[in-house]
This record gives sequence, structure tokens and C-alpha cells, in this order.
Amino acid sequence: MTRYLVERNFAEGLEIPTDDRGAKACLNVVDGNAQHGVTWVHSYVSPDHSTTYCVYDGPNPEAIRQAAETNGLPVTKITEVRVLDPYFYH
Amino acid sequence: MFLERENLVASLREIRPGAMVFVAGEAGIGKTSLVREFCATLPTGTAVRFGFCDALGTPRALGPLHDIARASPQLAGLLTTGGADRHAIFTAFLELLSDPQTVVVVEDAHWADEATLDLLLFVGRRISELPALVVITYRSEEVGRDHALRRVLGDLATAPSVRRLQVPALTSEAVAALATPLGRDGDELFAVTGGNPFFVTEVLSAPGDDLPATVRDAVLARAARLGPAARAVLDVVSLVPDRAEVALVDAAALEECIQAGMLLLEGRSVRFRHELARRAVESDVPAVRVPVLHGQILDYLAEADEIDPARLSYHAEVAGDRAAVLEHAPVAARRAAELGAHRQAAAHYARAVRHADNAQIAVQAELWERLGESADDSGDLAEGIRSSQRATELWQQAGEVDRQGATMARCSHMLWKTGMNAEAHALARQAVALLQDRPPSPALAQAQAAMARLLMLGRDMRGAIVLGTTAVEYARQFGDLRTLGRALNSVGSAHWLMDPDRAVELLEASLATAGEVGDDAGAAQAMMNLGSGAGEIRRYALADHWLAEAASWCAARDLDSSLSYSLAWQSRSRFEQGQWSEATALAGQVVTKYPQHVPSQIVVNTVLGRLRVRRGDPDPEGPLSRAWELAVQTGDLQRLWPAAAARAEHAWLQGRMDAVEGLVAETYEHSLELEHPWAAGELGSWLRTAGVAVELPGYVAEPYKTGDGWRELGCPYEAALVLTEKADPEQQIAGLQELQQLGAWPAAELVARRLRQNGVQGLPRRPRGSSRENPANLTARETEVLALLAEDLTNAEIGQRLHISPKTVDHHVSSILGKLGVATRQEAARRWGADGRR
Repeated sequence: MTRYLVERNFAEGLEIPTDDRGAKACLNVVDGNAQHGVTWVHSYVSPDHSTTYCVYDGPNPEAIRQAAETNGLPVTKITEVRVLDPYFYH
Repeated sequence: MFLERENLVASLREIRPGAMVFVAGEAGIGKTSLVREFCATLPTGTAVRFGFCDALGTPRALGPLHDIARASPQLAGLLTTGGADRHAIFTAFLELLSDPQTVVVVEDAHWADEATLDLLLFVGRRISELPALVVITYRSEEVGRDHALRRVLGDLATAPSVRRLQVPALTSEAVAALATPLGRDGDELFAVTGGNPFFVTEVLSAPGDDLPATVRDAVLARAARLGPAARAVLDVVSLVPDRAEVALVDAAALEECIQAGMLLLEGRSVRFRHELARRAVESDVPAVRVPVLHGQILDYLAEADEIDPARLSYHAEVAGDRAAVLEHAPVAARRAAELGAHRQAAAHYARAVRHADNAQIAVQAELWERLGESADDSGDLAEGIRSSQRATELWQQAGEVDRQGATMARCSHMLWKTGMNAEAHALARQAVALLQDRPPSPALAQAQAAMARLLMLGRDMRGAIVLGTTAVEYARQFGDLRTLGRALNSVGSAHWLMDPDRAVELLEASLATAGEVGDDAGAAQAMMNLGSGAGEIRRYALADHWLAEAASWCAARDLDSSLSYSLAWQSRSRFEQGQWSEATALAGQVVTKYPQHVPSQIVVNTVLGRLRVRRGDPDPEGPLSRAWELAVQTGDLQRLWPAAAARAEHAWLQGRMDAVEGLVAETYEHSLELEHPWAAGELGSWLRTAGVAVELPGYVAEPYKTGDGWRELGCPYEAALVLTEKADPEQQIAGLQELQQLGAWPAAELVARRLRQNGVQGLPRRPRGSSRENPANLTARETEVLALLAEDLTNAEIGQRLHISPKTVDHHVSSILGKLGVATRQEAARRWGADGRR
């Protein structure tokens, strides 16, 4: 598994309510990812909700794109990343 | 007594029809008993059919199917007609499985011949749509890593309707339960037998108190109790590994063996209660008697009707009867080859070759030639090449120049398949040179056709046409339709660059000829070259039509290498037409399912690399260097050019313009030598972009000269790039927007930077919303679904159009409704109409 940072842009902003519906929406995404062997680790969202940076594990960039398509999510840029921990050297 | 098997029988009963079950376990563990027990409890009216794979050194081709066909006149008819079409036989078997309440059992699949394994794979891939249950038993300890059954098990590993059951040994409690009533020590029995039920039974049936140490000892102790006549019967039956005809042995003595429980009578044949017992008795037959007995069996079988030649071939060899081997082995080999059991055909020819030292040179040459062909067909190219070379020498010694040349022609193709392109060309050229000064012959046609094909693959189109056309004439003159079909294919494919309409005409003729002689693989190649050839000159409608035809033809016949190539080209075609997500899905399929087919891997790795380059995705170098390395091995322009162009595009988008010349110059020269309009156009244009002074030759494809025509061809990426180069800023911006819509971010950013530097105002911002620009953020797939919604189609109908499941369509529809902020499909459809897009 390779780790990827996936940038997504939402023109209207991404609204996920913090209730049952929001939870269901997230679980739907998890299900859709599973069809392509992709794991959503977590995301960072800009204050205006127009851009998200999602950390994903997956076999290759194509799987990330196919999962996004299944879930109806946009993809702007995929970057392969490694973890860098500031306290690693202490 | 049926101990500790209730759970396994229950698991078998729980399996719904539409499944294939593999029952594995060591010899004597009770696989057959388990399956028989299960079959005995099936509802009345269930048709249960058994097929047996046998322990002949070289098994009968489709042996189990012959057994099963006893209950199906249609299938039996197909099997007995010589030269019956394999696809017809396989399909007839599927029909048999379409009867509800059918259970088919194939026993001892570890001994299956190649054609039977192909059949199991064919059925396993389709079983979920059938109402039948197929149960297959095999010995797990015989199926090592390189065993042919592994291929079937591996291929079906992920199939949802394929199950596996492992039959374990009996526990010490169960063994004790069997031993105690007979006054034997259960613990000791368990220690010796390891809980193997067959061994346990044999020990318990053996006389005396001494515990036999091995299965063999136990069986022989039992056999020793029989009279001399009965023992002689056992010896004979033990030497017939499949099933011995009753007429082979003395009837009265046979009765004694049956009474003693050593042999079982089944119709007009007789067999040991277990294969382990047969082996034990066989190993005890005195060595001096073995050939004599086999000779007697052979004499009887040779006179009997409808005996599979594979059996004669086997007994002839063990009897040490050279003349009989040379008579029967080639017949058995031809029979096996006809049914697609190529590995067994090769084994029979190899057997014949071992006994041919004293035969005439021409007889030896013929056998080596056939051995080479069968090895080639079974995928053993090293053996194929070695045998063909031996045959070539022998034909030369025999002074048979035509046969020598034809063998060389075939061998050249084997060399090409192993990637030894230079050797292949040299040998084919030699074959043509050898034959062309002699009176025309079918051999000359074959050699010319082989050479023409190699030239076509290397894109030496003129050479291929000249040589191929003579091959066509001779093949026609001598009525060799197979060679005619293949030669027409090469000549047709060679016309794509100069005269595409003629290419279509010739390839369609090749397809018709292949159909006439039942050459399924030849037909597949004709469709494939119609599709890939049209794709290479960017006639996508024609390409897509034939690629789809080829894919469905190959899928129905399990012609995997042609299937993978058709899918690979479908992926390339979608990619060039800007349908990137479809291209991605197809390429992924080929990469994972057909890793061993080199040409397909070159095509899809090039596509995957280009997709990553154009989308700006990570690691385009991985697939691109794989594609390039494999392409270099072939040395063929058609493989090198797209890979070189892809690497140049990558360098360009990374701003490494100085690298471009090194990446494409050599392949560009190659394309000039062969005057390839598309290869020279694309590679020459990259050199010019990199600032290398290059004069594009006059024959390059029109769009590379003028920039016009990409849109008409259906290539949106190239069309968009050309727009960004125009003088008018409005057109430049339009081109930039098209790149953004495609999701081609690296190119879009490069262009945007250039336009900003030139002071162009009003550039569209970086990504707004989805990968395709539209107000509601719909993805490409959602847009497609919405367009079909507007046609008032149901989810099922939309699914059919887009080749996705209705459930996935439902997923997309909910997402569309959410994004558009509407509640119903009708409202969504109206929004599509109102926007009036596309």
C-alpha cells in the first residue's frame, strides 16, 4: 500500500452535517472505497469548505481515481507522500 | 460405516447450484467416498454424471468428458466425430449443465489432461450462471507448485462461485471405534495409518495379527490369500491404469477377486477398489512378466473397438514394442492435439521419438516436427524450438527441402514468441531463400506468410505486402486455407498505413477464410488486427467496433492472449479519445489478469504511464519504463513509438526539454526508415517542440502538419493543445479550459503560465469543482448518467448502456440529485435540458 495526499476542490463547498446523515455519507464513501481496495485515513478541510486534503492508502493512483469516481468525488491532484514526524529524531 | 464425514457432507449439501467445488485431500483419505455419499443423498430426479481422469502416463484427451458423454448422445456424437470443433464440444457441455438438477463429478483432476483442464477453467468461469453443481476431486499432495492444475485453481481463486473443501484424516477416536470391535489395538493402528481411511480398512481386512507397516504391505497381504488364477487376474488388472475390460481376464477367477472385495465390477469393465491398491499390486508383478502382460493387453485392445489410442500408446511403450509405439503414439498424439490437449500430444510424440532410432530418417523427421508443433501449442517454446531444429536437420538429411523450409518457417514464429526477434527474422529469411528457387509449393507459401507476418509486425509494410501477396497466391493455388487466412491477415494489416479501405477488405477476407476452416485463433487475430490497425491510424469508430467483436469472440472461447490484447487496445483507444476513466479501468484489468502476455503489457503500461503523465499522478516512470524495456526487447516500431512519445511528453511536462531528443531521436529515425505517417509525425513533432531542427517528411499524418483535424478524429487532448497555440487569446483560453475539463492539469498549468507571461487576461482559475468543468460539480460518469436520465431510461437500461450494474447507477443518481439539489429524476432531467450542454 502506498500513501497518497488527494486534493479535492468543491466549488459550492463540501457540507457534511454532524448528524446521522453525515455519518451515513462518510460510511458510503468508505464502502465505495472498499470496492477498489482503497482506505480513507482522514482529511483536512479548508475553513471555507472549498478544498479538502485527504490522506489515503491505496495500491496505485488509478485505484484512488476509480474510488473517487464511484463516490462522485472530484480529484484535483494526487501526490504520493511519506510520513515525517517532528519528534522522530528526538 | 461413514465416520467423521457428516460435517463435510453437510457443507456440500449447503452449496447452492451454480457452483464448482474442489474436494482436496491425500490419496485414500476418502474423497470419492465423501462425494458418493453426498450424491446418494441428492433428491431423486437429480442427474449425476461421473468423469474419471486416469493414471496413464499420458492421460486420454478429454477422458472424463468421454465418461460423462455416455449419458448425452449429442455430446458423445461431437466427441466421436474426428476433428470436432473444441468450442462446440465445450459449449455442448455447458448445455448439459444448463439442465436444472445436474451434478457432474470429475474425479482425480491431478491426472487431468490439458484439454480437460481448459474445460474446467471454461466451466468455472461460467458456472455462476448455470443451475448445475460441478464437483472436482484431486490429491493435494500431487499438485505441487508447477502442476498444471495450479493454473486452473489460481485462475478461479477469486471466482465467487468456486468453493474448496479439504478432507482431513480420521481422528484417533474414530480409528479406535473401527478397530476395537475387531479386537485390534486402535492406538497402534492410528499410529501406523495416520488416520488414512483406506489404509485403515486395508489393515483391518488383512489376515493375521501382524500390523502391516505400509499400505502396500496391507494390500499385498490381502492379495496373498487369493488362489493363483485370481492372483493372475489381479496382476493383469493392475497393469491397466484406467479400467480393464472384463474380457481381458478369466471370468471365474475374476469372480473370486470380486468376492474377496479386491476388485469392483462396473459395467463391462473392472477396477481396483482404490488406486493405491492397484499401485501396490502393480509394483509386485515380477519385472520379467510386466512387458509380456502389457503385450497381451495391447494385443487384445488393438483388436477391440473404440479404444482410445492413448491407451494403446501407453501399453505399447511399457511392452517395449517399438513398432507398436510408432504405430499408436502418433495416432494418440493427433487425437490429443485435435481436442487441444497439446501437452499430451507432445508427450505422445516424445514417446514415439524415443523409439524411432531405427526408423527411416523421414519418419524420424516427421515425428520431431510434430513434437515441435505440439510443444509450441502447449506453450513449451524451448522444447518446440529444440525439436523443430532437430526436425530441420533430419529433413535436410532426407533431402526433403520443402519440409525443411516449412519447419523453419514455423520455428521462426516460435523464436519471435520468445522475444528472439533477430533470430526469428534470420530463420524466416533462410526458409524463403531455401524454397524460392524451387517450384512453388505449399511450403513456400508458409515460409513467405511467416516472413510477411514478421515484417508486418515490425511495420515494414512494403516488404510485408510484396511477400505476403505471393504467399496469398500460392496458398490459394494449393488450397491451403489456413495459410491463406494468415497471409491475408499480414497483407491486410500491412495496408493500414497506405490504403486503409483495402486493409479492411483483406482482413475481412482473412476472417472469412479462418471461419471456413474453423481456425478460431486465426479469426480472433483477424478481428484484433482490424481493431488495432484502425486504432493505430486513429479511426476510432471502426477500431472500437472490431475490438469489441474480438473481445467477445475470445471471451467465449477462452482465447486469453488475444482477449488481453483486444482489451489492451480498447484501453488505448478510450485513452486517445479522452475517455480516461474507462481507459484506466480496462488497463487495470489487463495488468492484473494477463501479466504474462508481453504485447498487451506493453500497450497497457504505455497507456497507464501516459494517463499518469497527463493527469499529473504519481509515478508515471514505473509503467513507462516497464513498457519501454519490453518494447526494446521486441525492437518493433509499433511498440517503441508510443512508449518513446510518452516518455517525451513526460519530460516536456516536467520542463526537461533537453531530455526529449535522447528519448525519441533513435525511434524517430526508425519511423523514417519505415515511413510511418503517425509515428514519424508524433516523434518528429516532439523533436521540434524540443527545439531540434527537423523537417517533417511529406507523408506524415495531416494533423501533425497543420494542427487541424484532431477534433474530427476524436482526440480532445491534442485538439485542446493545438488551440492553446493559436494567435487569438480567446482560442488560447478555450484550449486551456478544455485541458482543465479533461483533468490534464500539468499541461493546463504549463499553458496558463505561458499565457500569463504573454499578458493574456481573464484566465480561468485553477480547478473549480470536479475533474470536468460544470456548475454542479458532476463527475464525468455522473454527467453521462444524467444525459441518459434525460432520455427517460430506467437504472437497468442506463446500466446496460454504460456496462455498470443498476446498483452503481442508483449510487450515481443519488449523488446527482444531491449535487443538483433536486428531489426527483424528472427534475434532474429538466436541469440537463435547461443547461443544454453537449
